[in-house]
Amino acid sequence: MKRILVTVALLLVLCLVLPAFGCDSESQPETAADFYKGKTINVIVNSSAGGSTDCIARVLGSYLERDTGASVVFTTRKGAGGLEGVNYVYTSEPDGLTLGAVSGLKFMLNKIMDEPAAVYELEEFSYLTEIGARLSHFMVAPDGPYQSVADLQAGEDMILGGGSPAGTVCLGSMSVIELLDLDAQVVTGIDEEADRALAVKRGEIVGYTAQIANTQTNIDSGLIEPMFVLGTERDPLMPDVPAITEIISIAGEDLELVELWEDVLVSSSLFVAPPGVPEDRLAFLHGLIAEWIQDEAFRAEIDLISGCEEESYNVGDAVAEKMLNLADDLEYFKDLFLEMIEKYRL
Amino acid sequence: MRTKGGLWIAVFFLIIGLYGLIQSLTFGYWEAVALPAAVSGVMVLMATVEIGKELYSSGKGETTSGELKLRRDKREEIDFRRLGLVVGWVAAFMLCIYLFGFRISVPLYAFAYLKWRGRHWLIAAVFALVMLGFIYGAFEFGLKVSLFQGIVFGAR
Amino acid sequence: MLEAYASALEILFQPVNLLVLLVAVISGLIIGVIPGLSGLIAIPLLLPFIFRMPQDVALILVIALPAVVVTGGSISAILLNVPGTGANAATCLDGYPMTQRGEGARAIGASVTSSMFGGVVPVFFALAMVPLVMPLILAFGQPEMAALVLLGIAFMGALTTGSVTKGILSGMLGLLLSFVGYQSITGIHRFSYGSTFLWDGFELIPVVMGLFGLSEMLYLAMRGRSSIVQGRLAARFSDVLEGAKDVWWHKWLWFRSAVIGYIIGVIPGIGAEIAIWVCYGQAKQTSKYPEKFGTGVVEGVIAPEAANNGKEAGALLTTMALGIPGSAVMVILLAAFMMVGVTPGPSMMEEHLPLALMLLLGIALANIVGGVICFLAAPLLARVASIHLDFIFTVVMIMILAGIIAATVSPLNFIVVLAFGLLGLLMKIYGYSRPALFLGFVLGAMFESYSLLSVKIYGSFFFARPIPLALFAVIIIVLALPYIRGAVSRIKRRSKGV
Repeated sequence: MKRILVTVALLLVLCLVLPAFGCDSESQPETAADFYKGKTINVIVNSSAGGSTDCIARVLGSYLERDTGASVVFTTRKGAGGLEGVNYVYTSEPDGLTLGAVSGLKFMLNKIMDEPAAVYELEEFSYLTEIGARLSHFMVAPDGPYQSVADLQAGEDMILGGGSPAGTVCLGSMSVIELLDLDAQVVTGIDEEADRALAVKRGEIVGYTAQIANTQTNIDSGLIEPMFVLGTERDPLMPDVPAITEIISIAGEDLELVELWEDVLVSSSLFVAPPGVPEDRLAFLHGLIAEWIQDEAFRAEIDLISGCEEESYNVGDAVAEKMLNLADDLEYFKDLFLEMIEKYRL
Repeated sequence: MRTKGGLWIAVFFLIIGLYGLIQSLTFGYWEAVALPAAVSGVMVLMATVEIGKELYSSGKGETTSGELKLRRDKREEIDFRRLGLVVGWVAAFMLCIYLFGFRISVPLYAFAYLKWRGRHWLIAAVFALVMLGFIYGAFEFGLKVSLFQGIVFGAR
Repeated sequence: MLEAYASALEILFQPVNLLVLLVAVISGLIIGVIPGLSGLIAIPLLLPFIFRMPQDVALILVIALPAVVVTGGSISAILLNVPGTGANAATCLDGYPMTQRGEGARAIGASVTSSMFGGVVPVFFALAMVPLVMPLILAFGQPEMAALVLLGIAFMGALTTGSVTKGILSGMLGLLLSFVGYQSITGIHRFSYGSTFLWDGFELIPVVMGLFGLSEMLYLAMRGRSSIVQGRLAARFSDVLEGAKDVWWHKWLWFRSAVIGYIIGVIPGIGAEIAIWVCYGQAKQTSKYPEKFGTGVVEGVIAPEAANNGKEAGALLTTMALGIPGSAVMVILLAAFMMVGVTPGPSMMEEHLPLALMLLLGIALANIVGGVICFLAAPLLARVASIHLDFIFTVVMIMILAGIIAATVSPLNFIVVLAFGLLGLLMKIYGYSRPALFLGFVLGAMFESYSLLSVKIYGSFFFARPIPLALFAVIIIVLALPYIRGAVSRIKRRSKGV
């Protein structure tokens, strides 16, 4: 019995002491750069492994390791539609060692739709960077019966596709119906991008909204093609595809809706830290990111993942400003989207 | 009655079925109600039939294929004491991981369980260290998967 | 074409590429053996390094590793009743009883051989299949998918004989559990009471670990068993070869299962679970001794293992030929392809044919290398089952819980695995069907989604189409077959005057 107790005690001591060798020294670091040396940065990714946000996060992670001397560990927390990950980052210790790589669209839409499970506030996060600003396009079958906006407006009892009712694809499709005044409804529940593209090709649905970079392989396979951009300007990725405002005249509240999709609800990968991270550490990370953006090798790697020839980047304050502007308009857009769901859900 | 345990598990299915049926009727949308209600309804029906069989059947041992067959001359009963002890160990291990993380719990559990089972302390200690090494080698260093550190040490 | 093959072989058999393939295969096997781990955890780790690797090296690495994960997963399914991946769950039903009888080496031999050829042979049909892939996928709309999933559910009946009510109850409970969580069609939460933990329902890994792995460990510990093996241990190389020969003696079963798995793999949106259970069910239905399934018959190992490797080969074909990922692992592969500058799709097959061939041949080679490694290691591995249960229990518990954390991150899943472990134990003792519950759990929400979409898009008579009607006919045959066979054997006995 004595031997057991001694061995258990020895094991416990070992287990408690060993980690100390990996711990920081007691003295305060001089700079943010010193702070990160030898630490572990935990990057929380709120989407599936292999998705663009995950891949971009891993590229960023490799540069972080190189330039901070920290080791970077990735944890996928994609439960509750990605909310689990965002909430986790929001409530983490604001020491700069927990970062979040989140899908920008969902991040914003959760607050617009006032999702009760979203505990975070847009204006409180510490923003590092936003990579990508992929516009939404309305996709149709290349050889289908609807090849123009006029065809859509002439159609009757049409079915468009979407995922969950308050999801970006569904709301995008509903926005198209609203803007073009179509005789159509949106069938919800087609969650995967590939399934939606196949449904279009089979003629089960007329179309849906998507971002080019996220659906490039479906376009290349001939399943879908973009008809127009849900915005006021053309997408550099597909310069031949017109913006919706080039096709029909849009003004007033409808134009605000189009601008929401163009400026705010763009598909991007957002990198955030919990509220309250010390300014010097934030500034250090901003500085690193700004350097990487100037690095051709870094940009080439990001472009390869995103499928864009020239990906767009927002750093630090620019992202925070965008979120602050959105926070002011949440209530208005929420009412609008709820009304559309009520009206157009099949 | 065939076996008390068999009756209780049939009652368990009946309760689940009833719960499912009542809950599903509150979902609002017909799309959300349809299948859960249908499935629960079938469960209630089948559980009632099974309870009837348990209460009034002569007790021939029935089983489903895909499991070890019960021998008709020897009904399997649960050794609650043994089961309680084993489940206790499992639950204690889980709680230990939750509180103190894998780093402490894995060697502690491995050592303590093997000692409880009567193994020599040296074998238990070596095995405990091997398991700790394996967990860290495979997960933390090999796969860079961060194992749970325990809420006592700040994990969430 | 011959030139393209020659070019592909030349690239593949470069020493560096062969070494990379070997490392990837060994890693894949180890990942497969550890419960809860899969390509989903390992491959993303490689992504940042892929940029800096030569294209062929990077692609061989990401292709070879997941190709053998299910092969590795069958080892723990057979020896410990803990499926390494969800796609190995059916292998537990007969593989583990074989181990208990001391025939673990034979079971591994059969599993590995079946997996190996299940992953190799379809590759050679892949090129011929390319023109057929798109028409096949387009032919399977929402009603066809609903009917196919229903076929999978119908095999619940094949998994339960004797007590029909217990089988139905088990399956219905599985279906009900699958409805927990967020329903995408309506946007409401069911049975989850606003909990973010249950937002996506119960996760697959803790359920399968609890239902099969933990319940078996609890059962053995409760019974005071000293080891898994209850009979004489036969763990020589000749026993492994015996298992390989079993695949030859059941070659048509193997072929049927590999083809079914392959076709199911080609169609995106259908998981490996349908493939393995449909193949297990059809193996039982067509066997001369269906009542012996579940007690340790080698056909119960051959069929699902051929199916799960065939399924991986089919999913890869769709991913490469059309750029449509057929599974979560394929999504990551797609990302890897893009990162090395290769865009999967029709253009890949036209403009990069040698590369595409190299990848297909790489999968075949990975399966062969993985098979050979497992074959050679099988006699040693089979002896694991004779180790005292005290050590096995400890190791399995640690691996299950570590695997759950690796796969799901949340320690709340410990409660799930314990709950399903106890449920599985009770079901085992009182004669309910764990496979039926698992099948219902995996397929329930999928069937609901496809059938609701079918109703919304096509109306109430969505099933009045050729493929669903044909599948319904198959379902009727599947359900009626046991009764027909029973009636036929009774007639035969009467005519013989017995």
